[in-house]
Amino acid sequence: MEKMEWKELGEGKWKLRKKRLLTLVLALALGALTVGCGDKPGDTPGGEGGQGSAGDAGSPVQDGSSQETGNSGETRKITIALQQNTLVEDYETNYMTQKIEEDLNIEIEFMFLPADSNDAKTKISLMANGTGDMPDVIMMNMTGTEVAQYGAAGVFLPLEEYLADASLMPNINALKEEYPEDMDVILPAITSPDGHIYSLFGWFPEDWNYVPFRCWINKTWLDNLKLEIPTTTEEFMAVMEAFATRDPNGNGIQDEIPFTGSDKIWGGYSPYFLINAFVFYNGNTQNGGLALGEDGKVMAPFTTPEWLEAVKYMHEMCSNGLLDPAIFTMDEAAMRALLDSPTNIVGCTCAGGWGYWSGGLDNENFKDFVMLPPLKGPEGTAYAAAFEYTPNRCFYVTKNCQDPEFAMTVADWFFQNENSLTVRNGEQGVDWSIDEADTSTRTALFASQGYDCTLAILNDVWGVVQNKMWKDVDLRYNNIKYSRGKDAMIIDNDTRNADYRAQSYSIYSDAHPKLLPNLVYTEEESKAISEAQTNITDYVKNQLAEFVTGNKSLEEWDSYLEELDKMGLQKWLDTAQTAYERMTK
Amino acid sequence: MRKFRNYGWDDKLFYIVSYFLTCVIFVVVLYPFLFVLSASFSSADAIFSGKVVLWPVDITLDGYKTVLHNTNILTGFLNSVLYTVTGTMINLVMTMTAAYCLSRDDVPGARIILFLFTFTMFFGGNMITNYMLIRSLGFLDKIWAIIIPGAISAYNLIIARTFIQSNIPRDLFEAAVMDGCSDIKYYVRIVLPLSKPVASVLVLFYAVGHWNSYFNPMIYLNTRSKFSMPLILKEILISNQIDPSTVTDPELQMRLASLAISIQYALIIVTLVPVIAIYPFIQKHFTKGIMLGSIKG
Repeated sequence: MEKMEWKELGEGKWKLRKKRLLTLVLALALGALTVGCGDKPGDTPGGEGGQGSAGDAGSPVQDGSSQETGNSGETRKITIALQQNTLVEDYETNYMTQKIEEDLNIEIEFMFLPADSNDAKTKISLMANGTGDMPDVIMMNMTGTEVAQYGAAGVFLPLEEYLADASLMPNINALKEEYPEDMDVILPAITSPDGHIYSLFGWFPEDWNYVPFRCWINKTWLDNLKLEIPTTTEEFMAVMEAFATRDPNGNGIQDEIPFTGSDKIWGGYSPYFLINAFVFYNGNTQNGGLALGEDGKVMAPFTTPEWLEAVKYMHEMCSNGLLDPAIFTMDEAAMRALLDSPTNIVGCTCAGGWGYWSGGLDNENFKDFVMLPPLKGPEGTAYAAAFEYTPNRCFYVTKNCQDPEFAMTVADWFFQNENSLTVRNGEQGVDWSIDEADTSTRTALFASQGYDCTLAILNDVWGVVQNKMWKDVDLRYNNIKYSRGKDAMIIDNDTRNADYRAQSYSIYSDAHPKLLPNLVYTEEESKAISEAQTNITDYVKNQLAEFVTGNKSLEEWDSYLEELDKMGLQKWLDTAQTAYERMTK
Repeated sequence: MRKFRNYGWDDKLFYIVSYFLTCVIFVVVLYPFLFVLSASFSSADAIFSGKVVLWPVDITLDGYKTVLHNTNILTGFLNSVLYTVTGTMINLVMTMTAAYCLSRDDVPGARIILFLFTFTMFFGGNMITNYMLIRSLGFLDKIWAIIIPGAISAYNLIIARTFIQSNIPRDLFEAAVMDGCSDIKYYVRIVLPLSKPVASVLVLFYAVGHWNSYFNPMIYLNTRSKFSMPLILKEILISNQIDPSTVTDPELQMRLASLAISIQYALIIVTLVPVIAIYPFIQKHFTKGIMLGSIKG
């Protein structure tokens, strides 16, 4: 090998080639250098023409730097950090960006955080180490504990004084007048245990989301067998028996699965639907499954005799082959495959929505199903798993912000009603409307439920690539009446979406006792119980499967209760009771 | 070449076992790739319900159409090309130069300098100190933050140094100097051309590293138009994951997920193609280069 190279060396041509190559390398290196140097700190990536101009990584269009005056009543600048979202075309030319900039005469400079929340939090904690690189405000969702930590460390500024100033934040203060009942929930929820408020909130309750354990029963099968929709647990058992034995899909094979579900899909853990015919249980969606007892005290539904009754009932179903034991193990792909089988073999299942049938509303198998109202148990209990809405924490002013008052005026923009609607729905008049003329056609859909539809979605911008709003930036206040408008969305004259939602409201939304609010613990309390809460909720779920499938005999119920006691259930209940009393005082 | 049947039984056994193991490893490595390739041509519903096992189901080009129309992806792709090309060029110049200098035993303090390089292989500042350094250098949100740190990887430096030391005889230098060659001329005209095998190995190591790099761009870049491909890729992959407890609109989020899944596999393929495309050009040097670095033949 070495010899060959020696020969090559001897050739005269080589020199020429090498020289050319070297020149090329040098030219490229020089090019890279100059491109990189165009990169000055004050640059904003090209305002008008810059978007999508490929490969402008190192060479943004230089503009606007001459207008950086700031204090002379001219365009003021604010730096906002937010998580990039792949469905936003271009943040600079975005409709919402331009509306904010015009309305407030400001210039927004974006700083992008990674789409992955953990990565974004890593980045924030790195930035927080120094001064000068933090944006003025950060807009992303964080947990109460994280916010409290940054607040205590002085990275996020306390905002309560600004919030109280009606001349500074007229829109938020107007909300206090207009919707005091909501603000009474919001303000305590965003207050950190040290008494300061470090974050602003997003509030957009949507009743569809708070009763996810919707149960779907096969109406075609019921009709084939000339059966009525069951209303009690007893009738339900009989229907399932019929599904299992009388070949409702008419293919001559006993391939029917009467009752199934999956823990891995939203609202799909069907045992929770049945449990609520015996005792109210929120499906471990909030407070680890704790509830309020009839005496107004915090209690654990999973220790009650009613829970045992529910377990017995499901165990009976399971041992007779009516309840599919795969409920406890199936993953999303298996569940989807089951729902999509060429001939429908599912009699009844829980699922948060129709998205788990491929093709959704138009899926042939899905068309067989109707929503099953909560079943009445032996004691007449007929609840649906539900939890209480809590606001998001999603806006923080950092220590690097020179003028927090100014940042708060910007934040206040988001809380004006039309702007709040823009944040979620896009451009007024194009994507949505609150005009009577547009909404009146939709109101009829909800008439039977006694709701008015106050918002008409004209063009849905949520799940598509769009340039109308900053997707998943949650800073807004949407009263519940507007989310119902969103639910009344009519796609190609298809009202099924609205119909199902209206139905879900009427049969599930109010089928629950007084809810335990989302408890806010002090740091100390949270430390004391967090282990118990995690262990107990895991254990309860796991034991439920064991009891129902018969791996564990029902006679071991007492040892189950003892085990819960050992795990610190009493301490958890006491702490929850303290927190609840503090919040309701 | 001996015929297989003429081998002794122990050799036969050795070959059978090693071929078998090689085949197993080959299948294990190949399968995920084939799956991604098939999934990229399949419909979202088929992927969701686990119907795609080996071959595409419900063949569709939707994923590729979306990928090629998305301006973010195009920008990200071109940025990645820019970072990879400039970064690799800097890597190569720095590493080869340092390796040559350290290969000469007449450079004063060469051993200490080499020790300092090796030191960084075992001990490094943590994330926070790195970040503060980059900030003080004024590299935040600039291409430099990605291509300057790690311009020399100590591991690659050692490979290159060993190669030069063991393959380019010192006599060559002396002969060249006799003919009136300067140090720089010797490096550029004799050492570099003779180091092609190791240089191509370095190109591959560095280029793949740049192409796949996620963490540094994630930490140091803030402007979307500068984001590299892996950042955009992650962004799209993330939108496929639903955590119902934090999502405000699960129903719509689900629709989003099926949109995302159809593009994510197509996107992975698009990202993989350039890396796969450079392998054949470099592969012939590859084994040669890395082996020669270790033992003098």
